[in-house]
Amino acid sequence: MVGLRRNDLNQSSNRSEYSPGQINWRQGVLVILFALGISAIIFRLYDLQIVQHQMLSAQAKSAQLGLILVPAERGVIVDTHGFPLALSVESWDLYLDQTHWQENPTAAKSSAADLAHYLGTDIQEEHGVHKSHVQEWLIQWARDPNTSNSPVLKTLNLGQRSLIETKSLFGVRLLSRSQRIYPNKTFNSQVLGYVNNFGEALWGVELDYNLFLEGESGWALEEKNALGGTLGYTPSIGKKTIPGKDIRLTIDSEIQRLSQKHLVAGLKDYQALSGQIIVVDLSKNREGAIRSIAIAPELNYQDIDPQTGPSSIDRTINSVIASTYEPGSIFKPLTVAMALDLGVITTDTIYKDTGVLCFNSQCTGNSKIENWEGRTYGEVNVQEILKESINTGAAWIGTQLPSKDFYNYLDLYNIGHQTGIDLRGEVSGDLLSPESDSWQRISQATQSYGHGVRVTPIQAIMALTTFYTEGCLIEPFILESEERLKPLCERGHRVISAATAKTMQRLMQGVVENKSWHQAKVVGYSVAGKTGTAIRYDELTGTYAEDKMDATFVGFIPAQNPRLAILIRLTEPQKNNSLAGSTAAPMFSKLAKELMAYLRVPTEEPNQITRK
Amino acid sequence: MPMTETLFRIRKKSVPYPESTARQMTRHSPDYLLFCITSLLTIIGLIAITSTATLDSDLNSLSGFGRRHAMMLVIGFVFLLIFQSLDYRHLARWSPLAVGLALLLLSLLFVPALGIEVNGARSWLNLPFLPTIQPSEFAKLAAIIYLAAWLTAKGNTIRSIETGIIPFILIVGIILGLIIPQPDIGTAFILASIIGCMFFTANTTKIIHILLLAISGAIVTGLLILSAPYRWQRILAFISSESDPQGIGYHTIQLANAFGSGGLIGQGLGLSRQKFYYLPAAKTDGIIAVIGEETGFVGSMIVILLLSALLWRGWLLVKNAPDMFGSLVATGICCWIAIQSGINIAGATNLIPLTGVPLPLISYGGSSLISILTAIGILMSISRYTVLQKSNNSNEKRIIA
Repeated sequence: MVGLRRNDLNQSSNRSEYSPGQINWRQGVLVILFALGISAIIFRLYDLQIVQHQMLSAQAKSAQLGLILVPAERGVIVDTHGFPLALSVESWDLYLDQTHWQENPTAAKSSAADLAHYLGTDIQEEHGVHKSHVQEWLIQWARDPNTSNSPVLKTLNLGQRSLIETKSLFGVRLLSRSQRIYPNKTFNSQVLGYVNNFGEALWGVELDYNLFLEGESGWALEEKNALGGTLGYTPSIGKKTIPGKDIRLTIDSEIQRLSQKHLVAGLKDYQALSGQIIVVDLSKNREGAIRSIAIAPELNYQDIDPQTGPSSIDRTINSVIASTYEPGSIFKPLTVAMALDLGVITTDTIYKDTGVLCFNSQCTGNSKIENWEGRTYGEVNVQEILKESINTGAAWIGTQLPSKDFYNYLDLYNIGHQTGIDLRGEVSGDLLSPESDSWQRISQATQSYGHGVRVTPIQAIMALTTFYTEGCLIEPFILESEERLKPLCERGHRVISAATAKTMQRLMQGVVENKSWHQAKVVGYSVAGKTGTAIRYDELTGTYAEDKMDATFVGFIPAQNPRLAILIRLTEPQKNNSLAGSTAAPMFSKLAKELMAYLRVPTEEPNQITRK
Repeated sequence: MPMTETLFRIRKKSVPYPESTARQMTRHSPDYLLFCITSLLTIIGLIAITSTATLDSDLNSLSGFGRRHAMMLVIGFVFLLIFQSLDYRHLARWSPLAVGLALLLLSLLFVPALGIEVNGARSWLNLPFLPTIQPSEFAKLAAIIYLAAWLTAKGNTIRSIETGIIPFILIVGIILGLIIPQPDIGTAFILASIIGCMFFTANTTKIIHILLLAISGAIVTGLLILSAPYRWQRILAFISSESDPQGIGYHTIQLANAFGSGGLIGQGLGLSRQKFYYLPAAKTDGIIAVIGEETGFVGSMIVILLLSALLWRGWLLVKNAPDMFGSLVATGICCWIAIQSGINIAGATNLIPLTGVPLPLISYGGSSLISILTAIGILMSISRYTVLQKSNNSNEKRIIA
């Protein structure tokens, strides 16, 4: 009897009797159980949401809040006219979100297809993937733990960026970073320095003034989702970001460009190993401002990889302040000036040259001084000693001074001391002084014409500039600052009297202008200056190599009231007998001509130039 | 007589109550309050789902889930309106067919091409021309109606072992036997509880049978828990969530953080932070935590009170249904809503171990929503035939209504 029958349904008993409006005790039990359950839930919610609110809320916050660093914007470096030399821009890199792509492979696939559609060509160029395989390649990129954390595309341009932003593709992220831009790609980088893609300042002004430029990065607390992504709510700031300060250099981009151009050309023409050009401003109130420092071989910004930096760290050295050499004959005017200043000679003093100057009775080898190519000049005055660059004459003048005074003057010229230029890494050079055991009387004589002493190019040009700054040695500077506008002698110290300085200006002009064939001459302007050719001392062998020269020319233009002081140095030029007069001097002529035109310095009257 | 006849033969003409017992079966207007409470709950659900849907902005569908949920609501309410207008007594005749269909759909899950596995459970059916459906949700409704008809038809014969208990165990065993291996222990547990409650309240059943069935059910549950390690870990996480905050206990902690962050009045609509991947299944099983975080204790209380009000309206139908079939159907539906809501909310608040079941009328998920709305349509149909007792008050009320 298991089937359902009508009489089963009709069967009536006390138990199965159903009467509407009545409830049985079992239903009552159920209602009570449900009521208890509801009460338990209400009490539990009250406990969680009211009683434990503070604690749980804090617990949730601590999981949600993430620390974000807010890097400071790096200061801008501009040249003297405000033209930017280095600035930071926000650049955007494209990343794939590995977590999201793994969670949802379908969405990831369509995302990869969209990326391949929009940026296929760029990815093909960057990674060399064939365009038809970009989609699979992207999925592989996100899956491989070696690549998934690196950007697919770096430094997106504005078009690529706005395209990706408007499409809002699944699991595709644009992350910003600060990138240092050097707008003048051909700018020589040794002085200005460099900041790589990781924000590290590596050398130069960027490194020297890093604390000043970089500012202070701040931090903030930001709400994040469980996967670590941002929720986009305004972060609460923990420490404010202090942006970096801007720096204005005395460098003039155009002078810098011209200097570099002529240095590179000169290096090629005369087949020199390396070279430097310094241009120092001598106009009123700007005396000592460095307008350009050109160093060859060049290290241009276009040749530096932002990830790995320059190929060789030697190329980054600012050799103008960090390398020394024996300057040679450009030292002679310094000797003449101190002798005139002390009064041991006058401009009319006559020296009888026999072609050799002896410092002991044997007069052989290391105890005698001879002239270039063994020449003999006879009776010469001071102007002629400088003009013909007579070694014996300069040595004779130098030895007329007592050693104490001689070295005292060199000390005042900052020979053996740093010039105080506002760059780090300056070296002080070497000077053999009487305190040293290896000093001999002949040392003072050779030092009188620039041998047995090592200087930096910046020391050499600043010491000679003394003649044009009322006899006071001033500090060169590369950072523009109003504090520099002090009277000349308060910005340094006196070396020679103003009158001696005036005499030296006349003698320096005579060196170039009295020599009818002097290659440093510039049409329309008078030039004062001095060449120097020195045999290089080989530090490896400890000897002087007769065929390896340092050729230097220091010039002042216009000679009467110079606007610029220019030092040009070539190391080991192979052409034109390696002589400064036929390498560095003609380079000066070409460069100075263009600089005068650029600075619109009025040409002088012809009679002024040819005046004897 | 073959066993199949016992299970499925409810003759066409055998309306599950004798005509002589049909009292004043006059049709009147349905319970509009029930309808209003239901609508309010679905609106709350829609708002909460739209809030969590901002998560998926990456999918280029800012409120995609909100839109889809709204679409499901429209379909669900169409079902509700159809079923409230029908005479619920016809359901008894059709219930074997409904159960047969449900069993067929549940079996199809085991066809590799049709069953879809999500989070380790093969509970979704991918039929051509239809969105993916969860047959176990429809099976619940079909089982309730069928069991109500069966219990009514059995009358006192249920008290015998061979004509009552053994067929009962067979019916229940077949349905649960298709749900447990998916594996979907949560749904199986809910269905078993609903059936147990109906069996218990039928008043024709023997208490000793109920006790024996309850004890064997507990043994089966225990074996199921021990058979799968992850179920045992859930129990452990329930006992001490702090023991493993990054592992199993993570969900429990995040749910508590969501409720706790809500405080009295909540963070504000749409301002849940925990929904951003902290909460497990924020749209479905964890929706009450999102409501609790965004609208606070006040908001979660409103949900609890609305659900309680819904049960109260259901309870009135259990009491006032014109016949035993109607009363049992109402009991089954009320138990369904009560037990499923209870397991969801108690799980989210860590009163009981966490089980993945949706919150009726609120959670995202078309199958659950449509079957519950259909069930409420059936409740409203029952409410059209309630017998109003002699009490003058009730009569007056009816006139006013």
